[in-house]
Amino acid sequence: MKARSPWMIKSSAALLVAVMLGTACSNSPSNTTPPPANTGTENKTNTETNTPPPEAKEATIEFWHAYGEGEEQVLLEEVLPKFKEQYPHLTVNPTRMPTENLEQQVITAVAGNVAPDIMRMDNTWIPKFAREQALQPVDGFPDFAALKDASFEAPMSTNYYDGQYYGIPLDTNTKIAIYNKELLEAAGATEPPQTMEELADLARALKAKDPNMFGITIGGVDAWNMPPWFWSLGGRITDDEYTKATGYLNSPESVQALETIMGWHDEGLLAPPILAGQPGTWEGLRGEEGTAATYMMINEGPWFFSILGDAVAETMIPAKMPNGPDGSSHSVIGGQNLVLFKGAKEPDAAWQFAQFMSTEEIQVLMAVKTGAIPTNRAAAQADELKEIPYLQAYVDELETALARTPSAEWDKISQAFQAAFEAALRGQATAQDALDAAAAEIDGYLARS
Amino acid sequence: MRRAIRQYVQVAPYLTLGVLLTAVFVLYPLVKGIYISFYEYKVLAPELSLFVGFDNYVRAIQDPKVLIALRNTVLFALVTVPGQWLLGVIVAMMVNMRTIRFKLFFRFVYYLPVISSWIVVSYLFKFLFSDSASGMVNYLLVDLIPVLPAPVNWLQNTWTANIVVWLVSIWKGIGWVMIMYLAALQSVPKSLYEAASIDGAKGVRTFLHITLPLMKPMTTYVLINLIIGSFQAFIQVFLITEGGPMDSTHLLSTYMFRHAFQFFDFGYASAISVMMGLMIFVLTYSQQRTFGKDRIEY
Repeated sequence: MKARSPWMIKSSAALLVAVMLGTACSNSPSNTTPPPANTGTENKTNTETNTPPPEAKEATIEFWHAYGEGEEQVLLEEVLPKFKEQYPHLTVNPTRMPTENLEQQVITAVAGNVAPDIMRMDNTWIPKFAREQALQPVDGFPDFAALKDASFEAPMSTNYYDGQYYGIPLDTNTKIAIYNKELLEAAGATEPPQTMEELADLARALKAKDPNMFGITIGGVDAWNMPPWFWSLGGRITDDEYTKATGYLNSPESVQALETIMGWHDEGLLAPPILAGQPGTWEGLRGEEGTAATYMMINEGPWFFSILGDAVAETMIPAKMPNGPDGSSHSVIGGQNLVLFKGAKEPDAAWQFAQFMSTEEIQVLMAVKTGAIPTNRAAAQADELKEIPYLQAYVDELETALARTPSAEWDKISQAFQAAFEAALRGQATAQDALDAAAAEIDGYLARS
Repeated sequence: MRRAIRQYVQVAPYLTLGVLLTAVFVLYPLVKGIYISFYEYKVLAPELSLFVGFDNYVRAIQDPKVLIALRNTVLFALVTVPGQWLLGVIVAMMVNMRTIRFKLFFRFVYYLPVISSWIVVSYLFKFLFSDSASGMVNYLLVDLIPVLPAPVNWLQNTWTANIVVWLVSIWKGIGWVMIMYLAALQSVPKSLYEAASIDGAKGVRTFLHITLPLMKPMTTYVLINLIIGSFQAFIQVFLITEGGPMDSTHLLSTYMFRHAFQFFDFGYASAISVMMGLMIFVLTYSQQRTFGKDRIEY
């Protein structure tokens, strides 16, 4: 990178600008028609009624996903063969994408008109990609209403942006408390604690026994790891309609919640991952090669059990998060949706695949094999699910779990959230000041979107 | 006159190719970048972009994080340019010494980081400087040679994280400076040193009074490149600290990238990059004008 001739030096300023615009200059030709909101739906409906979708037209569906290894295996060996059986004329070409920089890859692909037909993406991404005109609304496709009715409301709502649905829910999840049986006993308990106070007391008892052990593990200060604790302790980010953060994120209850967490931190009850320290949550909970476990509990999703399987079945206890001041716990809702891109070459075939993925049969299959919690109401009640020992705790936790602010500006909101919590926990701001500043900043983002 | 035209016709195909490539890959993106910086730009649906005048620039000037990124960018240049230069010169002189054997081996070893991938060495340093006692550097400095009382969370503090970024950048650049100077050293006539030694000058004095002045054109070239290189630094921060903790280690380049490719705020990111381009232009313009004009005749 260093060897340059003089003419290149002259143009280096230009190059700098050029580098970042690499994608900007290749606008996709398919986006030349401005798609104002709502008309898309009507057009779609018209074409549907005039020409029924040709059933036997052969098509290859490009499908991007970022399933984990185990999940991908189920997809390739069980789900896709079933799809081929039902729709012999349709072929799915799945591509497993890396999770690192996935958003950048998607936006570049859409700009270069090489996006897939359909993609499984994190449900917090939908508003942003919809605002960027990358997705096509799906509420005009056949049987959308039926699919919507068959799905749980909260996961379905994550597809909603500016009057239309831009995807369908595929799976949902939340995070619960997972205890290391041995350390729980060392702290003096046989059952998981019911309240936050009980948990803190256990953590203190554990600390007294061995100062290198930690009773509470919060995986980080970010807006995925912190909310289950912040919300359960009484904090809120916005009002229920997601229009305002001031008065909610900096309310006395929210400040109290953050101060409780800061208090735990000062007492040394919180494990190092709160500020990105080592060992990581899983390693601390299970113990690494040659070192013993030092974390009594972590807050984690169902993949912990589906990935580790028998290795943790006997040693770890899945439990609901401890209750906070309102007598309940509030974890965070995660999950993935299926979206169709605006430039999709086979939108009708892709929609059929989306419908197939949301059927009870496939949802039950994925739940049993991978621990993905169904978004299909009927699938969630299936008997097969009851045989999975850890799943019930997650389904229970979902009852009171809260969604992250659905907004095209979610990335900035979560940055502001994280900055406030990090500043407070690093002792650079008081809880009140940090949350005041974040609330004001988030108000601005909510007003824009 | 006619002859001049004929000459132009003859070289036209070669000129056109160069002009065309520059236009497509340099001029067009440059102009488009400036254009985008005046819009709230939608990269996938440009026709929906909103003209906002100088709003993006005003926002950038008022953004405290831009200031922090600017501070880091300037500090990065102030630390890594002299660092790479000084160590590179020292290594070049040492490798060039008559008493040193296996010159090829040393040249190879010092040049290896230069040709290694930035991604690989960034992850390597991230791993070396990982937190707690499990990090290699912590193990070295706490357990092996007890310099520090307790493990340092290298990447969780603004300054220690910056130090890691500076270290990897200096380490990776030394070899390039060394090779440039080794090449230049071959052109210095031996007779000058012989004359100096007859006059009684030795070691450091010959270096300061003969080698260094004769290396001046190379020094200018190396320094300009190091400065430009330091402003273009990106991968090491992007991979090692990701701008953290609390956005305090961002460079202008990584901060701009975040706005463009994470927030899809291309207008704002373009404004930052245009300002950055202007800054580099101002910084290097005066040097470029004199660059290459002073020739040394032996």
